Order: sequence, then C-alpha cells, then structure tokens
Amino acid sequence: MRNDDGPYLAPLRREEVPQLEPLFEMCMELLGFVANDLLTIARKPEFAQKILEFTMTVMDESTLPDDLINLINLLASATAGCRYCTGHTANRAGEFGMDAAKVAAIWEFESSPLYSERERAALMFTLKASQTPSGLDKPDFEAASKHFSDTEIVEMLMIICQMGFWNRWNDSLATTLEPTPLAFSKATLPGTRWQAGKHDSM
Amino acid sequence: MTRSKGPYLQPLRREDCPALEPTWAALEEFLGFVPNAELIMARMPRSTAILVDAVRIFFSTASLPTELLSLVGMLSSSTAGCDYCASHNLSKAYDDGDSMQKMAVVWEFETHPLFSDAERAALAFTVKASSSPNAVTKADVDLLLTHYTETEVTEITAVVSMFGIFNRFNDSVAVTLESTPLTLAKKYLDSDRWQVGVHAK
Repeated sequence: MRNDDGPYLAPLRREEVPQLEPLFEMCMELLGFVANDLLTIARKPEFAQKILEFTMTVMDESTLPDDLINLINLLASATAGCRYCTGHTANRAGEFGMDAAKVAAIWEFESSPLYSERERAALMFTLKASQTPSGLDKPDFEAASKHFSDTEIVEMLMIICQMGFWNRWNDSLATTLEPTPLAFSKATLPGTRWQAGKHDSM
Repeated sequence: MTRSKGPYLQPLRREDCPALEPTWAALEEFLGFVPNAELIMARMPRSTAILVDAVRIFFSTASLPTELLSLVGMLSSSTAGCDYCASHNLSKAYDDGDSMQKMAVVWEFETHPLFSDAERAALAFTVKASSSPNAVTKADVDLLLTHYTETEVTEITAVVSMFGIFNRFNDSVAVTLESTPLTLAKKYLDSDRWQVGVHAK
C-alpha cells in the first residue's frame, strides 16, 4: 500500500446514520450502490442531504439532453483532475446508454467524429470553466450563444459548478471508488488518460 | 492575458423572479444584500433556492467558529483566483464581528503570530485543497485530525468544496462585485493580494 492511498477520511457505515436512510435509498436507486463520498460527508447529515439535493435538482431542472449533461460532468471532473468523479461520471454516462467509445474519447471531443458541433461548443465551454482560475472570457460566452440560450448557458455552468463541489471534496479526501465505477472506468477509459490512483480500492 | 470586465451574463432583476422572494430575503439576512451571482443563477430558480438553503444550513449547523470558516472560505477563493468570493467571505466575517486584521493577513498564516497551529493546519489544507490539480496528501489530513474532530474536518472540507461551486461560477461569469464587499475589501485587503479586476462595475 502506497502512503498516498485513500481514503484520508473514512466513510461512515450506513447504519451509523439512520436519519439519512431515505438519501441512501435514493442513491441506491440512482447508482446501484451508496457512494463513499456521501458516507463521508454524512458526518454533517443535514448538509449532506441538502448538497445532494442541490446536485440532483441541477440535473433535474436542466433542459439539456441527458447525454450532454453526463458529458459536461465527465469533462469538468477530468479537467479538474478528480479521478474519483471522472470514474463516477464515466460510469453514469455508460449507464445512460452512451457508447463506450464516445465516453473514452472525451479528451478528444474537439476532433472525434463521435461528437456533434453543439456538444463540442458545450465541452469547450466546460473545459475552460473547469480550469483554475477560470479560462472563460467574454468571447467564449458569445461563442456558446451561437448554440445555447442564456438559460442553457446557466444550466451548463450550474452543472459544472455542482461538480466543482464534488471535485474538491473527493480529490481532497481521496475517496475510494466503488466496485461498479472502478470496473467500468478501468475497462473503458484509456490508461494514458485515467488511472484510479489513490482512489483505487486494491 | 487580461480578461474582459464582466458580467458575461446579466443578472435578472429581483422583481422578475418573485418565486425566489424567500431566497432573496434569506440572502439579505445572511449577507446584508442580494448578490449578483444568485440573480444570474436565478434562471434556474429551484437550483438557486436549494443552493442558498444548503449554504444556510451548513452555517447554522457548523460547530467551528465563524472566523475560521470565513478564513477558510476567503483563502480557498483567493487560491482558486476568485476575488469576488474572497471579498464575500470578508464581508461575512465583518458582519459576524470577526477580526478584520486577521482576515487581512490570512495569506501569511504560516508565519503570522495571530494564527494558532490548528488554524495553520486548516489553512495549509485549504490552499492545497483549492489548488488544481489538488495537492492534499494523507499527511495533511492526518495533521488536521490531530487538531480537529472528524466532524470538524468534514466542515473544513465542506467549506472548501462549497467554494468549489461559487469560485467556478463567479470567476467564470466575472460577476460584478456589490458595493458592500467592494468597500470592505478595498479598506482591509492589500492590493498585492486582492484586486476587483473583472468584477469591477
């Protein structure tokens, strides 16, 4: 075991926070497992409930297609360098039925024929918004406006920003990837682009 | 390369989103004004309301002193390059009656005598956790755990992560800074450390 192996803060056991049972049930239904990040942030149960509700509301309120939402979450996480979130969002894109080749080509969205012009515009916007400091400038909003309304641009931003919470959370605490997203990402994502690293459960 | 002055998206007018009136009232109570950031986000009213609620619940259930939470929020934002968010933390600390002198020297936390060892550990974690790529190591969290409970470490990480939302939004849109935090930041913060920049009116 390397000394940078996670998690740096252990998840609670589900039975330790019975008041979050409805939240865990929802997570089970959504992902098929209770995510380790949720079990870690569960030390602040009221807040855990609200912040997860925020994440889910952003996805729900957004009028963008599910595939595009999933791609934005994936590229935001990859750009920020959070491999836990990258693994999770890749897995989620796959569960929504996205072709594995398209998920794996996220780093080549500008040139891959699997991506439409509209997706490329959204993903270029995502790439810049997920850099630190932000790489967006006025012309980027003008470019995005050719494909998206102001409301849709806010939707893209809010998707990227809610991911900003989980990117910082999971990369800071080296949350362990659960078996399902770990297996999916190892099988799907190019090893030159993604490694489970400190998030591996091995 | 200098970025253009913002905002890159216009705030809505408060009266255009009456459904969010409880949210605006909560923000006025929390910060003393309705931030331009939320008036831009308001194009997604449900998400905006829940985000504000999440922040409010976080602070009302936090066990750590407001001063430390604001120091963490300000340094996190400054590290990520969002001076809009940095000044909002200053403004909140002012309202809470926390020391402006201490907020003004947060960048010197490693050496300045105003900071305790526990605060230094929290602020060192904050800088690393707000950097991209993330620079936190197991040793940083182990050190935090010698000063704070697991619940308190959760709170510190939650503040850094909440500003992961706001830093991305406010820096990306170059949201215009409101007069209250602007006046406070100009009064208390060193211009080498803080600039209104793209957030200028």
